[in-house]
Amino acid sequence: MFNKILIANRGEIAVRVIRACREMGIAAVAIYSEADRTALHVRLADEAYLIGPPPSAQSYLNVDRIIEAAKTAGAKAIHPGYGFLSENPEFALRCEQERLVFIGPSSQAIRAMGGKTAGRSLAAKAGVPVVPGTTRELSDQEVLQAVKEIGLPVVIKAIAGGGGKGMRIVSTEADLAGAIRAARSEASSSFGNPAVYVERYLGGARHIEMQILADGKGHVVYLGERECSLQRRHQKVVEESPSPFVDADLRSRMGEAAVKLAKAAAYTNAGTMEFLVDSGRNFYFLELNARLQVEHPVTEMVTGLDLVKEQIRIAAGEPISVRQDDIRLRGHAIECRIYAEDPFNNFMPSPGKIHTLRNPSGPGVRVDSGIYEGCEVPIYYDPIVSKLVAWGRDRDEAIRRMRRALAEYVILGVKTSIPFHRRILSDPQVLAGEIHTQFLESWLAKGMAEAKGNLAEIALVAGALYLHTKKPSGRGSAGQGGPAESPWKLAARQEAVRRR
Amino acid sequence: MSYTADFQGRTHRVAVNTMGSPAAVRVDETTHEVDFTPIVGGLFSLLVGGRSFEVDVVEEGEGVLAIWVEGELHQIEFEEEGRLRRKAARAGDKGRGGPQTIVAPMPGKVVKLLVASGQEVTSGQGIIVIEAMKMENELKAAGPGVVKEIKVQEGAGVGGGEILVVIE
Repeated sequence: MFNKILIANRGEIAVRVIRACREMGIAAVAIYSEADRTALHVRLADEAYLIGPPPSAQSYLNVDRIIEAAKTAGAKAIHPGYGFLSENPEFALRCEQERLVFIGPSSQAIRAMGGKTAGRSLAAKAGVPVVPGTTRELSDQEVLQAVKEIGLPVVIKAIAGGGGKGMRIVSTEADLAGAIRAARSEASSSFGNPAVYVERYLGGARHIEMQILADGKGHVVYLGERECSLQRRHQKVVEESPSPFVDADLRSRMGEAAVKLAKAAAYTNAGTMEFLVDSGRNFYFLELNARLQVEHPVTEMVTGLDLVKEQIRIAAGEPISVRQDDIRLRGHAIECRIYAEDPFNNFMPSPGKIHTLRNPSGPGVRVDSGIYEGCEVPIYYDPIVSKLVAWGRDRDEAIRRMRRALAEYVILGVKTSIPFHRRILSDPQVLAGEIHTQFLESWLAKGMAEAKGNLAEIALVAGALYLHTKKPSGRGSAGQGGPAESPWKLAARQEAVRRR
Repeated sequence: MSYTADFQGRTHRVAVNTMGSPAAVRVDETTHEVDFTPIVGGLFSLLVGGRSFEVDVVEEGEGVLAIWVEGELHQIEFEEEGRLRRKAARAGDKGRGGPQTIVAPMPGKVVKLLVASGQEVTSGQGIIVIEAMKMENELKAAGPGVVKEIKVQEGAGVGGGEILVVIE
């Protein structure tokens, strides 16, 4: 087992990986940009190294500096988290060349599954159903030809795509030429590659994904599905496990398909196969995410496994700690992604200083967070600040817990998506589990409901009393001064002393 | 003391009739008996006729309060009655149909211009798309007008607070 791991990431996911390291008795090394000197992951790590100026390209994407930091620290392995370099085959290859263990699949496996069309071809070869469409890059003329064969509506997709960029849904022939142009230009500016292909567009389908673990010893297991149909601009907003739509039969069919595909790709470590599922419970492979997913906690809550620890064990050459027969899904878990953005102003990012923070707690509640009271949410990175996860014996209890936890959660200083989540989880269709990938967009188009009258009345009372009792000198900022020393660090230091 | 309070396009009258514990506060036609006790910073505990609420109050500007209650944010503009109405004064400054500026809310990059110089725009129409924090955001016109000046080009980097488009 490794004695030290470098975490090539920031924010809540870096904190998540530090936690797994600490529980395994492994020293955790953080890296940070100049904007992140006081970030939570730096405070909690055992060691931390500056790797460059704030923009990602000069820091969290700077391969040379990250490798250098790993060598300086004497780390033997690198955990990439999600985003940044996590699915970059060159980075994985560089780690291999530098004799650092990349905690993820091999560079060849990332490459084999990386491009969307490469993954589709491999899936088709392995006998896993894919959405009807083409399996290679097309010229404009070939796109038109392919659309004739597939039939409208279609979706034009960038081969190098991700996060909904370089993607256009087309329902009429007249829009086709413009959509090809738009998809190519977006793909070109976002990924430096204008190549596109075509798939049939499955309206009203669900996005359901299957978590797998694969060790280097030929064991591959699936850990059940996650329902991720609640999306905005092709970005997941709320995820849950199990899916309210998936029965035992569909679960085992999808799970076995995912395992088959992982074996065909010689895939190792944690991975996620994304599928579209139509109303007839037919499923179609979309793509493989060759990394830990943002939404991995819901799988952890229902399986009882720690996916990050499994990743570390697999990377160290150890077998997966469970067999397929041992895996049982217990209860129901749901996750809300909390972003620093304003849901009432077109989801505008809302960076700034968090002057008040009170985390929810109590039975069945988990907060994976990258923030603390007094911290800054910088402008340079993804605006996710935390993930709120609730577990219940069944879906109804999980949702009730989530609503209770959302009401306890106070983040002030930046706008957050908390009120957005409260409204989503009060919608009758969401409560009934009747959702699909366009559900949230059409729900938003109707306009979000205003706050309930009762709470507004309380706010009016509080505001008037606040002004009435306010001292004329004005109030200082809410800085309370955080705890002088992180209790984790104290515990780890004591542990280190004991080990000596 | 009485206040007018603007919230979500409606104006309420809020009067603090007696202070002490409990205080009597009237909101429009309803009077509440309220125990209002500070906890720490901007956090207060309210007991309203036996019902308990945690309320966070943040002063965002003079009389402009952001009030967080049970997962909901309320942005309310209070004004002491009898004082010169700020809003009326401001409306005078601005004048009807005065120029409005579309300003970058934070540093980022111009992804797309949705209008051309001289074009007529309606209230809420998308004017420009900028990318910041890995996300694309459409900035919209606050009111109707004509695009007078476009100060940036597609692909350009912009600073926070920079004026992008002027609409008259």
